[in-house]
Amino acid sequence: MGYPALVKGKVRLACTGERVTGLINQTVQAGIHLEDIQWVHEQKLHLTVPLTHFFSFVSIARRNKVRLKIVKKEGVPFFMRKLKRRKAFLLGVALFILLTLSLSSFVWRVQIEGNEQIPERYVQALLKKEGVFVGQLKGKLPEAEVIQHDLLMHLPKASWVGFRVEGTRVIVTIVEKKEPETKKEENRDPGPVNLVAKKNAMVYDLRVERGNPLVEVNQVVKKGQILVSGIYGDPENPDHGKIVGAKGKVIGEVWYESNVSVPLVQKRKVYTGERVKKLSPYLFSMIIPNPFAEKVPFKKVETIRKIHSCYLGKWRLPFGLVEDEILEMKWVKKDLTPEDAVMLGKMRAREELQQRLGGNGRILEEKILHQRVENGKVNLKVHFDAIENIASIQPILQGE
Amino acid sequence: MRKWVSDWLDLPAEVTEEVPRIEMVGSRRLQIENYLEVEKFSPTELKLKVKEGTLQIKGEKLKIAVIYQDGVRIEGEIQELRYMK
Repeated sequence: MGYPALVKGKVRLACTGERVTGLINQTVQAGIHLEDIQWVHEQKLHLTVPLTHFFSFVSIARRNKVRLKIVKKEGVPFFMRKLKRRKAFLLGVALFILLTLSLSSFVWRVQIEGNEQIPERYVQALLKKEGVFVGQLKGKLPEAEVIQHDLLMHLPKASWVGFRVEGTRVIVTIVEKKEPETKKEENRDPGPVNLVAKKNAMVYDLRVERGNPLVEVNQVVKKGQILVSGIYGDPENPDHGKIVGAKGKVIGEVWYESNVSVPLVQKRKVYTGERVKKLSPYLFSMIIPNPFAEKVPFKKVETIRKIHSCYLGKWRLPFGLVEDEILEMKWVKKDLTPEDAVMLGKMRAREELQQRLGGNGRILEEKILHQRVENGKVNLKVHFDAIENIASIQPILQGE
Repeated sequence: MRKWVSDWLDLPAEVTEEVPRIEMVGSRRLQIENYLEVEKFSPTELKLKVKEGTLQIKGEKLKIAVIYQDGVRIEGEIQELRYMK
């Protein structure tokens, strides 16, 4: 056998005779499969014979004096014969296949994606020069690597170019170079400036690139005091000097004080690992709760909600599923010794200050000024000695 | 002899003895292996000759879905299955 019976063809026959049961037995004895035997009346049966055994079945039928009539022919061989008779239909099929093949061997669309600054027209023009355009034979397209290389050579703003063919579409992906933002506050030239103190501090270090320093190391300066003058010449006579503008850094030592209070009992959230997932459908902004859902067996929970919307192509449909993951959690209490609390408080204060200083400053020294245990809390007063850039720019007002 | 072999070697009877093996799926499908001959066929009654007698199947709208040398599949509303020795 091998192939299913339909591929080889089947014949449905009406058998009329006195010895139909005998016919069935003898056919089966001959090793022929019979299918779908239906009783019509006492001397008539309908049955299906595989086409390959049709003639041996006919001879058995003759011997039993059973008359046969073909009711139906099914399967590929009969279909093929039908096809041969319908030339126009066959021609149509052939034409269709030919047309599909020939049409799909052209480029129908050139798609350029990923470009924001490079104009599409420009890329298209470049592609046309390479031989990539709408209507081009797909077989005549140059190698992807060649195109990628050439395009990259002609597009200085692109850092990568991809070329691929998807069916009848040509897709060119361009990754543009990210240029650093030029309009940064620090880089903008505000004109000639003085450097003045941002806050009260003691000068720790002076790094003047341009300008006339008016303070010395270890000098205490007040907020708003001019640190580096943008005017060369006699500082006593500021109107007569040459205005050049100041540039540089003034590192000052600044004192900070911070108050921290650390509770001696630390409470923390901990997940127990028990979790339940719940799915419920939603329509517009309404969640339809499942009425048969079991109750969540946890006392304290935290819910992580994920929304799965249905999409039809690009469009988000106004319904979908809401997946709630319910995690059991509990509070864990931890008692701290006063020493540990002080350590923790110091650490927190330090981190906080470091964040305020940013990358420019650093902490030189820290000292606990004051420490008191009160109402289950440790109150700390910490002194920090930090250095940071205290210079801020102030434009020199001319013509005053 | 064959029965003795099957009992002694613990082999299934339908393999050694050529007795029919009958499998019924619900009330609409009946599969019989190791039958010998179809004796009678009508939509209400079907008789199959097997080694130890005749198998009578009664029902309504009976038809033989597939038949070949080793087996037969009957479909229809099967109501009764009887061994006649």
